[in-house]
Amino acid sequence: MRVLRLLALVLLLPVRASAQDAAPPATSLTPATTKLFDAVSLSRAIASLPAVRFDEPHSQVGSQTALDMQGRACAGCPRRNLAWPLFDVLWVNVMYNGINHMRGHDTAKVTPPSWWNNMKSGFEWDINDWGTNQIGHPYQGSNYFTGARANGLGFYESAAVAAFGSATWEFYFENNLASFNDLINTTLGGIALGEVLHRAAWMVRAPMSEGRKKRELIASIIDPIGGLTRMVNGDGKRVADKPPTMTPSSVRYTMAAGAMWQGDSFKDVNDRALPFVDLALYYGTTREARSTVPYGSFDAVFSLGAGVTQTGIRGRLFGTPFGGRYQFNVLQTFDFIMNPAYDYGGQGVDLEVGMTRQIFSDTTLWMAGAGGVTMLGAVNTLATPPDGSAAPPRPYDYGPGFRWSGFIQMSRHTQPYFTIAYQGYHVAVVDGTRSNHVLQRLYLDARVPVRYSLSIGVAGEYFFRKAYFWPPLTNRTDESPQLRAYIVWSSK
Amino acid sequence: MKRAVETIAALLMIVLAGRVAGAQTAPAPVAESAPAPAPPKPATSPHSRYWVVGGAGFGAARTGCPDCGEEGVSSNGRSLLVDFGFRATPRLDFGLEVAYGSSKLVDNDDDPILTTFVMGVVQVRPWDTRGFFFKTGMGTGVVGNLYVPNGPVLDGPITTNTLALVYGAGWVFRREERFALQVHGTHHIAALGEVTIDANTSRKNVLNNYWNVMVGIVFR
Repeated sequence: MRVLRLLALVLLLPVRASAQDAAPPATSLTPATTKLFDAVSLSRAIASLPAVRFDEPHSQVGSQTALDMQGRACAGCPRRNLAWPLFDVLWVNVMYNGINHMRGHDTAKVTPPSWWNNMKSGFEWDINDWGTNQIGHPYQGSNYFTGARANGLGFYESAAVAAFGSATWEFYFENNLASFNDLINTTLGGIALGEVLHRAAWMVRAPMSEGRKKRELIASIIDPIGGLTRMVNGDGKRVADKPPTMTPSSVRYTMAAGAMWQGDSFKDVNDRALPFVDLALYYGTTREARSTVPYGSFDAVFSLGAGVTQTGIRGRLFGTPFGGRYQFNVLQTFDFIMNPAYDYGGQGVDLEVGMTRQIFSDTTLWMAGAGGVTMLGAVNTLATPPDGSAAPPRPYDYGPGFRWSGFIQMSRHTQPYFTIAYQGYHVAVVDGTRSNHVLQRLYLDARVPVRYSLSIGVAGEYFFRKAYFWPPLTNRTDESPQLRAYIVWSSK
Repeated sequence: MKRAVETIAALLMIVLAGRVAGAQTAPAPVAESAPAPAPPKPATSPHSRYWVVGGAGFGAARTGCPDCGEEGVSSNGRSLLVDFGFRATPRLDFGLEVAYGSSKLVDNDDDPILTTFVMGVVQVRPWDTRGFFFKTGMGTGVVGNLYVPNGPVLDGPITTNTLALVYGAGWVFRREERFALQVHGTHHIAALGEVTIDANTSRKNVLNNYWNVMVGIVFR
């Protein structure tokens, strides 16, 4: 009998051992009960079970393992890898070189002698067309940048990768001399465009949702290199919360469409209406709060029209409130503007001081002034040189300069209804005909809500350019007024 | 006999209990259930966030423009550098660089071309525990005593401002010490723009390239 009792004890021991090894309860236990199925025991047993919903996607957040989390700043963050971004640079360069081969570009035929020739010659200016240099190269730079971001590198580290990608492209993947303007445009433009695309893609991604695959695919269209990287390293299938820094404090976007009328002067306005479409994304708000997260808030505007376009990115690198109601921001800027008075493209940095005031119960006024530098700006050369000489081989010039702006906007429930803006750019030409260009834009916009989120609006713009040449050339002035009428849809 | 059975049963109980308990209490595989560790703390320097680098080295330079000869104008020279700034994060430094280069043409007894750069720079260390870094920066340069040895004679040596850019990479030895040694290579670029040769001649889009290898002392 005693033997049987001992054997029964042996069989029961695992159960008891298991119970003893269970994690200690967070709250103090009630006195032990001798009953197995009483209410207290049952509630205690059930309480330790996680709430599993089989109709929802499973979360890995609670079970991230040490191995899985290695190199990740958070559960949903990409794993930090320094080698893959360099490999991305290599294959992106090979891809673009291949595209140039297919397009029949002689510059794509690279050889070790062309590499050595480029290395010993250093940089010079190139004569590529406006679109290639001001949009194509920034986009290429964004590929390097987003590849690095998708491999867990930070903003500034990815900026270095963009510079590395740009330099290697110029020296080793084209056989003409490395282009100085491309190095800057690809790097700085790539950073601005790249971070916007990277964050826009993360706005679409929802790794915890049922439709995450579809969203991952759409995000990959926005940020192809980032999407491809996530597909290769498995992050695309990862079920985890978004990185905290990829969730903006607010998002607002607008879509406007309408017609515009332009002229060479106030007296000479073309009566033919031109269609246009404006898309704007306001990611977070640059008007408040302290932030050291680069592009934790940014404004991006893309305007397309018949021969007229305007694209601008203002990404906040640093921001802090001061003096109670004032805000100081450091902003990276990317501009691409085409109008009858001037074409301008450039990358710069602005220091902005602004203030918000509540003027009515539901109306706020934002006033800001900004000034900064343009690292490299491009401005179109005058179509007919003032001295009557032959047109230059490339119809635009490059140079650094200053930039300044003022902004007043009244908004009701975050929806702007009246805006006055002024923007000035200066370009001191170091590549092209020696000159200083001063470009200015005055902008007035008024909107009236119609229904739901729709408003109608009118905007008047005035573009003005003064070009100062060294003697014997003479100065020149260009201007263009522009009137726009449009309907706009705004998100809440 | 009965006592022997009891003893065997007791031993069996002890063995089984130990095995079961061992199985129960063995650490679970890390890959399955270990909680995520806190991210490792970056290595922090016991010294100031601010740093200064002073160094000297050798360099080569080339002046080129679309209308210049394909070989451009090349020279050898010496360079000096002072960098100072602050450490924003363990991997990121912001600073200001003042670099000076004296470029003297080979087989030429004329005075050297003197260039001074003043630039904002950013230094990135991919590994916060290793000395490797790369840097880039932009700013302005002043090119003094500029002349065109193998071209038209200038009215006089020119001093001109330029748009300047630098990038490079290097290694800091003894990086956690107050005094450290730094070796780096840089490529400085100075965009001079249009240079007037004489009343009737000018060279457009002139660009100078400077390659330097330098050794510096880091103080922080």
